[in-house]
Amino acid sequence: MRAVCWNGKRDVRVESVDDPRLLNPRDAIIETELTAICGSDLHLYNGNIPTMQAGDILGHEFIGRVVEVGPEVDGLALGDRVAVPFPIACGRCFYCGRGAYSFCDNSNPNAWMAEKVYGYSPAGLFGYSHMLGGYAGGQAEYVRVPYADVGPVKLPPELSAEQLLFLTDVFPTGFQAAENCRIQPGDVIAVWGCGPVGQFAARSAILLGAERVIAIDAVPERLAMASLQAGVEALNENDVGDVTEALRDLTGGRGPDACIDAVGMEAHGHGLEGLLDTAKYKLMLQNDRPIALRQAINACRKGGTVSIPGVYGGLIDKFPIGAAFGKGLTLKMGQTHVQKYLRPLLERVERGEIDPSFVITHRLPLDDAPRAYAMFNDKEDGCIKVVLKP
Amino acid sequence: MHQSRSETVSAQAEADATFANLSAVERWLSLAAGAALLGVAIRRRSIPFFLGGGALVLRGASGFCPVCHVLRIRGATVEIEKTISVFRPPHEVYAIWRNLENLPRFMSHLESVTAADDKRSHWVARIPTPARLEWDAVITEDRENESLSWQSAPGSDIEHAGSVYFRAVPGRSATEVRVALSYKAPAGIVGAAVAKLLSTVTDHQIKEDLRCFKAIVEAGERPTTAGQPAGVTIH
Repeated sequence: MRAVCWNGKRDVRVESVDDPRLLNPRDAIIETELTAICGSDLHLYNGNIPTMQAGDILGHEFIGRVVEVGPEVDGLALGDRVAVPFPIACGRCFYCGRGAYSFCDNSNPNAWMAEKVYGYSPAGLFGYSHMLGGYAGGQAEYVRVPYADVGPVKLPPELSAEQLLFLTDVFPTGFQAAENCRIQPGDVIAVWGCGPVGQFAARSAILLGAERVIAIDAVPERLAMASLQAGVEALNENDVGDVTEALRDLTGGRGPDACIDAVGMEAHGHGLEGLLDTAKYKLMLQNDRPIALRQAINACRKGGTVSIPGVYGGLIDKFPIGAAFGKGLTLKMGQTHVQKYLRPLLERVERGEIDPSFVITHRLPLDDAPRAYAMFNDKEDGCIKVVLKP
Repeated sequence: MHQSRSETVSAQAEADATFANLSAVERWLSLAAGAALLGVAIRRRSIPFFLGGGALVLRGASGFCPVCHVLRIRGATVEIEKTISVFRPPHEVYAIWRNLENLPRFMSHLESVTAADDKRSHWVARIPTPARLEWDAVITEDRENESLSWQSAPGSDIEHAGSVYFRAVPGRSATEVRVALSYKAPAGIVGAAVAKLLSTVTDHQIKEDLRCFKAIVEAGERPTTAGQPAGVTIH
């Protein structure tokens, strides 16, 4: 089959590889209908996630049809059209039992690697480094899906692949980020980063009853897309001297009730702080550049919540713990428990409350993946979200 | 020499090259025998007795025996204790251990365990051929849903003992499993097969084995990627 393989920093290639086969009794094989490049794939692309190996198949957003099922898979039949959550979860451990699927105890065969770095291992993920399982990913014609009786959710035929694909990651990720804000009537939510996760976080905050959402970015077309949604207003960080001051002015001097960092570890800073962070990053004095996170903590109102769907992998410097403590902030973060959100969000799509295909800007064949990665990474041609058709 | 450790036997032997490898009793015996031989040597004016006695005195004084070092004739014991939580009630987890034939499913240093009857079993170690190591074991204590202990029969090629304890996690349908294993070379003589086994029973490996046990009990299978496709990198 054809698959998108990581070969090093900014080097992805579409290669011919063996077809996947069932390796465990609860496995299924899915024939990919549509897949996508996620913003978090760019962290791999730029070589910022350790324990990648040349030849690793990328991708964790994919939907498709079941072509093979293992003997222990109940509830799935050949030909079923399914969405597959990006975290791999057994469904039977302590964490899965509480709906915290992305903390699954059993799905990471390389848990010891993650334990060395994080103390305890989160769940394995599709196509996201050996530390997080080393599972072959979904930017391929076929994918092996472990615990297929737990993860995949059957999809209705009347909805298009483009409407359904983002149920596997970015829509639930934005939704969980908004849900973590514990939105009350009248709340104003600020969202840093108008990539796909930020877009879905902004719309989810409105769905969950936020009064207003302020979407912050420096890319005009991303801000324009965010402000298409009623209730979402755009704030171009290049147009204001100080984002925290601008947010204060926009909220009657109170500050946002909750702040969402949908940027993560590769934030672009400005001024001296940005230069210092870039220098430290290049000298490997810190792995992650937390400019958005610092702003979110400083801008948030007293007693508010900072919700972090943006991916962080390592260590940061100058974390404003004093501001977080002084204002009694709640910090919520982590990979998304997609299995918990997929069905309820599918129902919202079926009811027409949201059409997730709005984020798609580019549609390319799988074979064009190297060009798609470069374009998405460099934000060329107004690229916000690329889908790949095998 | 008794120690709990994670490094391999060969690494331990190398580390001991600069240290004493004899026990206190052996050293005193060596000194006494060496002194006696030196006495004989002086009376008989015998060079061989003098050299032999001298070597024994040096051996006793330094505590280092080069012959023992080369032959690795020294006490070797691996003792490991690990704990893991399993999201299943104690009676279920106990039942899996009570059938010792299940152990090779997750203990990577075991090839097979075959039950002879309710108490006795035959164990075969998983070590590279042609080396072979097997022994009989007997269950020495069995407290239903609480603990289980076993040990190798007297005169076995390896002295093995194991205990596993089960404790219900309060407020949860879960069990804390504590496993204590010991493997010991009989009479301190580490043969090739025993050395191979001792080098595979490490802290890290037992931890991974218990993780595998947990995955099998909870999820019904151990996670793997072995056999999945990957790109071929041409440099």
